[in-house]
Amino acid sequence: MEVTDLMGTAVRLSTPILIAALGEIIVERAGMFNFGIEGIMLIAAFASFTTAFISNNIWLGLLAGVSSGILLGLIFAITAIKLKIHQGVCGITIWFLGLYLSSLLYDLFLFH
Amino acid sequence: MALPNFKDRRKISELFRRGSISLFIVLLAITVGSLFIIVSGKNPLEFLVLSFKGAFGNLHALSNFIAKMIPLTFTGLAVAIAFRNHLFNIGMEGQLYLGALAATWMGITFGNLPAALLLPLIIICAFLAGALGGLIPGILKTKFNVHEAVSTLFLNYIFILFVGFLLYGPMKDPLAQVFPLSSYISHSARLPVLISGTNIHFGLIIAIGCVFIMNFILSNTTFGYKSKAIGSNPISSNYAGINVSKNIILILAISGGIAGLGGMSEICGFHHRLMEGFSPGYGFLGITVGILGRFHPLGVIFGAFLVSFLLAGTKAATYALEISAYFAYALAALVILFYFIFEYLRK
Repeated sequence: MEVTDLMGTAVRLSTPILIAALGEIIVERAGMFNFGIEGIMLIAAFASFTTAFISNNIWLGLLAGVSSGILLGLIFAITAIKLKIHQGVCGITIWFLGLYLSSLLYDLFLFH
Repeated sequence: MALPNFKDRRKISELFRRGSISLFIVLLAITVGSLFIIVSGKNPLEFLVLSFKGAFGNLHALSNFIAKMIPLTFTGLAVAIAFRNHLFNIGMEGQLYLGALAATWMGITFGNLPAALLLPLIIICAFLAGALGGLIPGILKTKFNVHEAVSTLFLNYIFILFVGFLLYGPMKDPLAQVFPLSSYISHSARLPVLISGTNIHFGLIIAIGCVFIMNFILSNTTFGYKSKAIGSNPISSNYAGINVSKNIILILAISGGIAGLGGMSEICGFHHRLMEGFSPGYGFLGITVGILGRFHPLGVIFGAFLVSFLLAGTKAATYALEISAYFAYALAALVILFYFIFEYLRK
């Protein structure tokens, strides 16, 4: 394998980590930590893929991914700040909800 | 005392009220989850009937239901002990694997010892192995101020992958060609079956024993009182002369040890060999059990009952109606979310 290939793969593979870390940084600068980031990514991946697949439009897919991320982030914020549940527990719940809900939705709608 | 006094009666009605709230939350989650069933074109009423049949329909279903309650009671108890003192141990899955690893290793290596000697040794070793998984985050928290939720979360991966490494290498059964399985543990290392022809094994008695022992320790000893004080306010507890670091490490170690016992009961009572993915998420479901049991050791039994209904009954119904097997897990996550909302509305 060429060195440039390797570097290119490194950049490609680091993209999701970079963007996720960017999101987490915003939370951590505010003194919180969001464990649910994995679940949010999974739900957003499902939402953006399904939307882009159905509408044949990548930008609508992007919009769906971002808005589903905002929705789950909102759930995390409401449970952790308004409902005053420990943020670690909220994050874990969002994580598992995202993990299993995205698997469930995939099985229901995409897997035939 | 022959008759329960007023305080006891109030206690019982309080227990009943909490239990009915937990039951209502589970039913609410199933109702909301029915939307997914309707979307996939199946009948939700049929699903509910099949869920009850899958959990209590016949002797086989009932024995499966109770067998799933055993590890859930252990992990739920581990969650209850840690969470009620505001220590967020979410490494039950890894600690479960450590306990299972210790039990398998003992059961294979010392297989020629008599059962009366070997089984207590296995129980102690599994507890210590799980306790090690709780000791590490405890030391990290007290010495280096690492939040225990972060360290236990990542230690999960380390322990589970370590077991996987052993199963692909040193512990792999030479007869198992493809799948990473360990050899069978010897017959003297197996927990006896309580009712012949079912899966209900001696682990049930150990689990219930642990619940009552922990209930006694937490409500009747100075250790229980100290840990409660630390959970409420560590700074003032330190000022009052309680050794905060020692007690935090001890609580996390006991919590991990009980999760380790859960792994032991799965291996010695049910699977009789270690394999990758032997736990269908008992560690995570333990959080749901603990929450439904309101982080009370006795409530954990009821919580395990409800979650086992999801894991045994709902899962059987999803197979019968060909709905995704993730449905039961999504419900378990929804249950926690609804609990949060209920806690808020109650205040």
